Amino acid sequence: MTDPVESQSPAEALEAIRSTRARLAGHVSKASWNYDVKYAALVGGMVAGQGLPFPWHLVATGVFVLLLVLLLRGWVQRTGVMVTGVSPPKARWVAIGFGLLMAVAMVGVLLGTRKTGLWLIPVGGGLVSAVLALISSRLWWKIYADETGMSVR
Amino acid sequence: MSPTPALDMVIHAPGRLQICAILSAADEAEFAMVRDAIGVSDSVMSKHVKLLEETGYVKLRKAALGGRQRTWLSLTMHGHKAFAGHVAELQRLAGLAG
Repeated sequence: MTDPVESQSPAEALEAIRSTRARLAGHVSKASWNYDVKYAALVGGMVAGQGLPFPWHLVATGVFVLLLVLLLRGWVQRTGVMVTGVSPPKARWVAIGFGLLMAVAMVGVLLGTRKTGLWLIPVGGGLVSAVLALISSRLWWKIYADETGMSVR
Repeated sequence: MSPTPALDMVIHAPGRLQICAILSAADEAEFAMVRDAIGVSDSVMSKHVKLLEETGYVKLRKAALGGRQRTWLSLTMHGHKAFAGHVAELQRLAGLAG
């Protein structure tokens, strides 16, 4: 195998890295809208599920976690790329921040529903969480695409 | 901490540079996806991967997914370090030329 090593200048090599990563970002982002909508619906369902009586809120959490794992598995199978939310150095902060926010939302819905008995709390909490999940997922993709396409790590 | 600039001739070859560029941006990537992304044949891709694996830059994992056996590639810590050093050196050289 011969490699035209000498024919590639440093600038050309850097451009090759950038264009390859831009192709990768384009390849994975094609499948991302479909993923994001399903992801948002599952997160919303998991938060809303905390309004169910004991032990059904635990069952709901287990089911939604399993569905989220299956969603990620399907995405990896389709794209041929595995990227966990916390791997990219910059985008990981969106995933960590959103995870903490959802933990607070789940506890809030759980306690709020137990205290007041209002069905509006799990329904509203679930809807708001689904919207926030969609926004944070789109933001994650944007930061991931920027950092994979433009910077080198 | 910024990587130590060092040109790595194993990584510098265009095909292997592209493979490392993809793997450095993902946790794992499937062999066929990387092959298609860089536009080479199976045999050329295998040769690149074999050399990267022998150098200790790439790790291979075989796993069944969707009923098919697939090969997944990932950069090792050593590979990440070497690629970061290589890119730092390319940036330094490009800066000198510019």
